[in-house]
Amino acid sequence: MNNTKVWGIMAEYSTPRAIYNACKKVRDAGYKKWDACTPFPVHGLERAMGLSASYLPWLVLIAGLAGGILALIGTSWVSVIEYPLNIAGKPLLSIPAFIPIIFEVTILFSALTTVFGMLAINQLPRFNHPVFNNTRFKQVTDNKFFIIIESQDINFNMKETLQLLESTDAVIINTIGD
Amino acid sequence: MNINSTSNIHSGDIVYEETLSGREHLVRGGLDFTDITRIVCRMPEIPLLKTPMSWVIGFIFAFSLMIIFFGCIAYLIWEGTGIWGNAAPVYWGWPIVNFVFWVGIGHAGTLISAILFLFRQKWRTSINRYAEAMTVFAVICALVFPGIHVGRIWTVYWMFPIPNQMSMWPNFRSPLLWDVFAVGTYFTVSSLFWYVGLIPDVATLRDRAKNKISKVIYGLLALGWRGSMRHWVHYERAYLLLAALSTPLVLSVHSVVSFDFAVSQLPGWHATIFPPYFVAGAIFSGFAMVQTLIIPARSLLKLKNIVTIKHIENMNKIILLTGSMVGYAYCMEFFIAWYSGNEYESFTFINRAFGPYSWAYWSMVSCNVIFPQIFWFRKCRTNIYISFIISIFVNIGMWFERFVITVTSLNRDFLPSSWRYFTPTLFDALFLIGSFGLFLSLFLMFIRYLPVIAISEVKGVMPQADPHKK
Amino acid sequence: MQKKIDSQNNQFNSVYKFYRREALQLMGASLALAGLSVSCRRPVEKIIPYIRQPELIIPGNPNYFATAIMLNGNAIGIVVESHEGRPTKIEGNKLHPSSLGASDSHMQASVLQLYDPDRAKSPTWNNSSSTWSRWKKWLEEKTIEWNNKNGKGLAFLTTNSNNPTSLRLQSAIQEKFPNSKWFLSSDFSNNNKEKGTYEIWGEGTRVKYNLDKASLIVSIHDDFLILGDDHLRHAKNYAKGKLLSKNKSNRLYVIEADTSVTGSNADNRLALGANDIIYFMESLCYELFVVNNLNNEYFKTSKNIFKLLFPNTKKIVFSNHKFVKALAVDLINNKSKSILTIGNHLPSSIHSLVHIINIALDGLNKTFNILDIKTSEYYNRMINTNSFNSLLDKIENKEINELFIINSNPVYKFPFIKKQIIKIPTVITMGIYKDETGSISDWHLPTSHFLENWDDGVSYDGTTSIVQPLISPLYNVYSKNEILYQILYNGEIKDAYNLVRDTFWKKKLIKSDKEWNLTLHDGLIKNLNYKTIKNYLSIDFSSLSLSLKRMNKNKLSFDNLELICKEDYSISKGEYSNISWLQELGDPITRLAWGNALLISPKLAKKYNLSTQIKEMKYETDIVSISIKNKKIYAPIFVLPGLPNYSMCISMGYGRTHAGFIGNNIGVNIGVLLNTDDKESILGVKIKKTVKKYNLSAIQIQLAVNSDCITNVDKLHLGNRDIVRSITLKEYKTADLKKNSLLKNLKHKEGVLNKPIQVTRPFIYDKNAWGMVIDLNLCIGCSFCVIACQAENNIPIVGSKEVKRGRAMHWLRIDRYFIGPVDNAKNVHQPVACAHCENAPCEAVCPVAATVHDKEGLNTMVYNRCIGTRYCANNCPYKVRRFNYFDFTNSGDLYVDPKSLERRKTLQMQYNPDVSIRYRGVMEKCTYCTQRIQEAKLKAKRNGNDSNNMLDGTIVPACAQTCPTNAITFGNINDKSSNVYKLKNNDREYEMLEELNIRPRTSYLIRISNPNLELI
Repeated sequence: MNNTKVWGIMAEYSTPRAIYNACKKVRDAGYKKWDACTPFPVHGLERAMGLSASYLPWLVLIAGLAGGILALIGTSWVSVIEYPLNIAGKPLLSIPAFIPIIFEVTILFSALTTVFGMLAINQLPRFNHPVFNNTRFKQVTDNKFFIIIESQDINFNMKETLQLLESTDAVIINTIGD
Repeated sequence: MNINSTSNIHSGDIVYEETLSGREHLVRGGLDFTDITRIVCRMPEIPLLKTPMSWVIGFIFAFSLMIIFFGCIAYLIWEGTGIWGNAAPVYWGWPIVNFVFWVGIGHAGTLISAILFLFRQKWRTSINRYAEAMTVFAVICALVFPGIHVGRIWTVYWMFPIPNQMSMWPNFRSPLLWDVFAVGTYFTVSSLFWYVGLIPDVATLRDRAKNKISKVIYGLLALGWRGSMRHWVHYERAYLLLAALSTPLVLSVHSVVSFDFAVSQLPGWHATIFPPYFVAGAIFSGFAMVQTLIIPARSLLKLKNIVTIKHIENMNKIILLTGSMVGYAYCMEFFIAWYSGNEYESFTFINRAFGPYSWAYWSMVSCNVIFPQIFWFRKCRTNIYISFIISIFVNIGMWFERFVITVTSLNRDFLPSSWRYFTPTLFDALFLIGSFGLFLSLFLMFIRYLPVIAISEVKGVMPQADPHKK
Repeated sequence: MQKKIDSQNNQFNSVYKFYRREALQLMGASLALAGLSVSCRRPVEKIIPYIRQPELIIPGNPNYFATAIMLNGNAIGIVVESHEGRPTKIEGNKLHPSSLGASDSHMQASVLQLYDPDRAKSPTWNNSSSTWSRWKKWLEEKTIEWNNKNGKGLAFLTTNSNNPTSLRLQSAIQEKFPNSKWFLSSDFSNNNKEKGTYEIWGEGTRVKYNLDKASLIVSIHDDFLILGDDHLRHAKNYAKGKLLSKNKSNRLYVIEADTSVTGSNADNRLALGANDIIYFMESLCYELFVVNNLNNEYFKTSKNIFKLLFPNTKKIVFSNHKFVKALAVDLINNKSKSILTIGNHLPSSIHSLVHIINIALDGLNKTFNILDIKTSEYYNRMINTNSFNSLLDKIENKEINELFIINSNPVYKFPFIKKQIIKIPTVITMGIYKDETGSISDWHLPTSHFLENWDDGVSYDGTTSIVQPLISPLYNVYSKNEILYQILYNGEIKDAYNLVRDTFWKKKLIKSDKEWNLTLHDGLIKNLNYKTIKNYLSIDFSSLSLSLKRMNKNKLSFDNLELICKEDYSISKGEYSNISWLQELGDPITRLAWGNALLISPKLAKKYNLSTQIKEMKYETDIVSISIKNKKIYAPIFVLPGLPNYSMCISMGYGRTHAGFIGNNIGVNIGVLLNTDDKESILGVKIKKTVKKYNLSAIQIQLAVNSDCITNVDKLHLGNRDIVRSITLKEYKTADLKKNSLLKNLKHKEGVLNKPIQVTRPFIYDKNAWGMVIDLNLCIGCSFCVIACQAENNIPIVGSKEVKRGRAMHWLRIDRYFIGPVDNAKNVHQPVACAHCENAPCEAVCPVAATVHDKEGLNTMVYNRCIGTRYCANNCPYKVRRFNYFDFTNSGDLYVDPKSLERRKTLQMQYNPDVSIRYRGVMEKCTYCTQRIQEAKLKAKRNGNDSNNMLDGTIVPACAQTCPTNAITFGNINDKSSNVYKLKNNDREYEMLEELNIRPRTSYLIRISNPNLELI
């Protein structure tokens, strides 16, 4: 496998604790283009990896406001300007009656943004990825924990990186071809 | 134990005896991650030809009911709404009753997912997937009824604000239009919620898949999920946001459904107590339905170690609570009817309790308020059979509640001249049964091919999931 | 279509008159289809273009023609609306004295009868289709026979109609065949009435009430408001006397053996078996003549009169003294302003008795006139006609070879005579239907509907009208007169037009074409009616007292029950059985539709342990066997409060077997029990409970407004619903209604009535604002308006099954509530239609804005936009919205099977093209006849007037137009000069359920009853 170009190195761990400590080490070594894959979100791992919090909520806030305003304008415009009708002697602009719709539209926009925003940020769906070439990686969704360091990383150096990972209690370490 | 163990018997098969002393673990029997994966993935991974007989029989039953349902709908479109019992003055009959019934059931799922999530109720993880699926399918059933109950089904899309060449628009003041938005939004959001939760677990199935077809299908559904921590960060935040959005949503939806009644001026409908009363009722019926479904399933799917008696008990507690809230609402309706001094209002409620529909009213009260009271006793709360029976009663009772509200209020309103007794036709019954067929078919498909437990979430709450644990 | 015209050409060889009508006929069919083209889903229909442009027809504009209709032998003037040659709607003729612009349900519905697909379409010989030429041949042969024997063996059975031309031809036939026999068909006819007047004023006299001149009206088992001769004029005049001022109103006593509409309008009502009425009369005479010694120039010594009438009366046996005393005093106080009216079917001696009292009360020429009909041109109909019974004898003695049965159906009325009729060698029946009699006849000759051919008629007071056709016969039929003429001149054909014309020109009643045209235009011949007799002939007291004595039978009791066979309000005596509108109308009192039932009093029901229960959506009631002597039938019962304890009541006209698709096998035919000499009240009736149950279909389930008279199983307290408000004149004098001080009279809770304040600014209707006021004081509950509405607005019929479900489509319904104690309950009637609320609850909840308000305050219903959520109907507090659960309209006059699509081909010609028909799944309701509003506005525009400032009364909805008492007023409530505005500011005005703040545009006026306070 060495004759092919190396995409990165993958270290496998069998407990959350192991990968937690390993991540700390890798983070301190100053790697940027690396990742940890786990079957479930291990608590505090993002801090151990030195990741910043998600900015998704801001998108959702904007989208929600947009939805609400759109609904308010839409209902009012239709009822007052576009299609004014004397319905049950109620005033044309009866905002209280529009509130449920405004509320629902707000929620709808926010929810859609949440989901598709999340996928967009994560660049999903992505059906092919180098890590999938490794059969052991299949266990990432079962009970195994992986650290992957990409060869693109400036600090990447096959020997040193291997040493770094070997210094953690990784079960198996192997390289990933491109 | 050896994580690479390839032994066929694994601890999922052994059922540990139920200990009820003190706070016990949510997942019992020292299972490890793989066990969880195995237990949950067993059903989806059974080859088609080895499908358990119990499932096959159940599915054939449900499917045939569903066929009846669609047959009835076809006949309805051909012949007209007259095939139902609806008449003057009861212009809304069973179709609307069924609609509200199903929407109500569709509330527990999101509630368990969202509200319990926000309250960090870890025990939810074992049942939330299940409940969410139930929600989605119940809402599908619910959506069918307002669609088909209108007189001219082929024009039902006029309810949506679609720009058209006649520049005609819907009436945004109508509670029915609020319904369109509320239930529509609710369906969208709860399905998204459900699917987002599914992604990592489908990925598990994808990675374990043996044959090509399941590889492709699960592969597509999993969107190439690889458990990357960088993804988990946004994923968890998104999940939290969805929970935060769903919570007001789930409360709003049944409030809006209750507006269908509360905003009108019919005695017995025109009541400010309706929104909270309906929401409580919805949660009540939703949890009952979860019980009804999960109690058989946990033995069928061998989930007893994940869905423990503790979960059952917790849900019974909620049933007891919401049931009592509903009971309070019943009393309050009577009090207000008397207190308001409005003779039409007071007559309506006397008529409910002692009029020609008293049989419906009292079966409702006993099913919803009286029977669940036995859950004050822990013995009953933690008894599978009692829980199951009560949950059935609650389902019946909640259907009757909607029936009582809709029909008894309508059949005797202001002018005695237009009073008439309502009797359903055969078709009314077939539509109700048929909708259950649709619901069960979808549900059986779900437990057959998708992970019924949120695998990753359960793993997340297991003791060994804590990285700081020695 | 073309074929039909040819057949017409064969029939009519005269010129010009018929070109016009051919064209009319052509358009009739073609435009009928055009009329349908406005519906929710447009049906694709071929339209046949005009062949000849007819005169005076502008497509789209209806024409109106005056003509007349015959109701129980009397002509009533009508105006018929015709759309491109299709008669579509019948209204009353304002100029005609016995219509005065009003019309009843039968008149309204007869337009549907014209298009009835079950009419006889061609002559039949022994029930196999034949042709007129064969008939002619047969007739020619027979005529030779008759000529030889001067018509021996020839017999005619006719009704006592008095159409001049028919009478002319009949008497001509009599002259030609002197040995021919003439019989009057017994239909409980006015014999009693005539005998009654005969005994006092001699032959050929007739009573005419002037109820408007009477401040005190006593009806003795007489349903004068809605049935019988001149009912429309009676209703109008009765209404005139109501509430003349705030403290003056006429008073109506009703003594009756059934629960009639007149009875429900009574201020004081006494339920009394028909058989016991003699005792009542006896005690009334005693009170009047002996106690209050009533006398005048006719009766000097009143004491003797009672002696003469009741020579051997020791003591008065009548129980209810209180009532009679009070009545007598009241009568004396209102001397010369009071009148007693009497039902046709009470014995003639009681008629005479009543006349004597009326004379004694100085009523002659004031509250009533005596018409002299023998001096009139046509008083020859009595000439040697024999009774129906004598016919039967003649048949027994084989004296009859050929029997002509003209417009009469004896075999239905008395089924037992069927076996006698078939003994006759040849029976020839004429009629528009091949009915029970027609089906056993040898020849059945289909006759034309009165809208199809020329005829004439005389009204009750002698006013003569020409019946002019609006459409040429739809089928291959002749008019009755044409056939009589053929009989007269062995088969020679002369068309009805000339026959009628001859009648009047020969007698010089009409001298010029100008006069003739004027007559056609007005619908009556000016000043040609019966003379009145100024005073009375001597009375043969001995014979009268004898017949009175003979009447004294034992009183009614549980062992001596009586059965009243009354003419049905909807379908009369069966003449209208096949008209779906009337079958579904629902009886004003029982609200039963599509069938009849034996009405019995609650007390009797208890005795026999019978019950009428509300099971699910229908009445589930016991079936009893009714038996008289050896005859027996089974009928469902209906427990009706207010009936006399020992009188049972059943309406005739049901149980037809050859009425047609609609009318067959509905209800029971009481005729099975009857003998030809029976009167309407029969004694010696036995009933017996059976185990069987029956579901009656009712338009409205029986419930009372206030809980002291709940008549069904449901004993819930209904609260106190001020839906129908009624107070007494005394209360009205004192009460300040606007301040709702009447509430204490209505036991009303405080404050509920006060209108809530409105938070939002109400809409301003500054131009036209349409509104309606319904005066409950004038509404008699006749339900004529319901049929008028049905005819005007193309309202579909749903049939018995759907009525049971509660899906009747009437836009306007007459609610009936009971008030008072069960044993002497009274009814109140309340017309309810869409009230066009300004804050319409229905509008707010419609998701697609299918029902919205227009600038003039109409609550419009946009059928094309409606998707049928039915939410509006749920939210309507009056429950006046109607939903098309099935495709009711496109299934003809009854929602059933494919057959109705076939029927619709002719029936659809009645549709009003100005009103769109509604498709399945659409909500519909009263529109205030918006098509008439639009028509009037366009007209104003065309004439260059301001359509926002129209003259009051230019727009009249169908219901208001037909109302005999003008109880319904419609107009512009912004117009200070309009009647509706005045009524809206009347202190009796109230809004139903006004506490809901829905601001209905239709409001009601409180009913003011004027009972004799001594009897409360």
